[in-house]
Amino acid sequence: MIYIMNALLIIGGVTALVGTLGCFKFKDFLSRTHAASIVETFSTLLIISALIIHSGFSLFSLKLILILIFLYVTGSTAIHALTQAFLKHQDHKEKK
Amino acid sequence: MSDINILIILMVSLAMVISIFRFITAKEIFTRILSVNLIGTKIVLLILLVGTVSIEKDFTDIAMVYALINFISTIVVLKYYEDKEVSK
Repeated sequence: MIYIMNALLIIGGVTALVGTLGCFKFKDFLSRTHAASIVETFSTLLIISALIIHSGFSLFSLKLILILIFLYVTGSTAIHALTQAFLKHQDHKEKK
Repeated sequence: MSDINILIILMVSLAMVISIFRFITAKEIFTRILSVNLIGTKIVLLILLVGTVSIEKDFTDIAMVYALINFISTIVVLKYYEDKEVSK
């Protein structure tokens, strides 16, 4: 069990680093949101599920599951709203 | 657990430093909002990891409140800039 946990933690940390570096690498803003949402969803899923495995069946893990669901819903929604605002901004620029 | 946990804490902190550089070198406002959102998500992860290493386990409530504030602040800042742009 501890090997699974360590593997999840390491893959989660590497994913967080790679997604953040992707924000530097991509030139376009819409590509950057793709790299950022990898950190927002995949890395969060891996690290929090490793902590759930570590803490076992308790109130702590219930709170962790709640945080995971909450981060999934709000992170995706925030990046979606950001993309919509960017598209509106581009439309507004073209009209001028 | 605790050795590898500290390694992951260092990795997430390094990613946060890279996000701060992204914030400084960004040219448009949307990339800045994106990097602030990224920093907030990583702070939530960092709070949870530190709470697992230490003996105290009351950090989860703080992480939940931080995630809520992060989401609301992103939406409010976006709405502010959108209104400013439309009124121009």
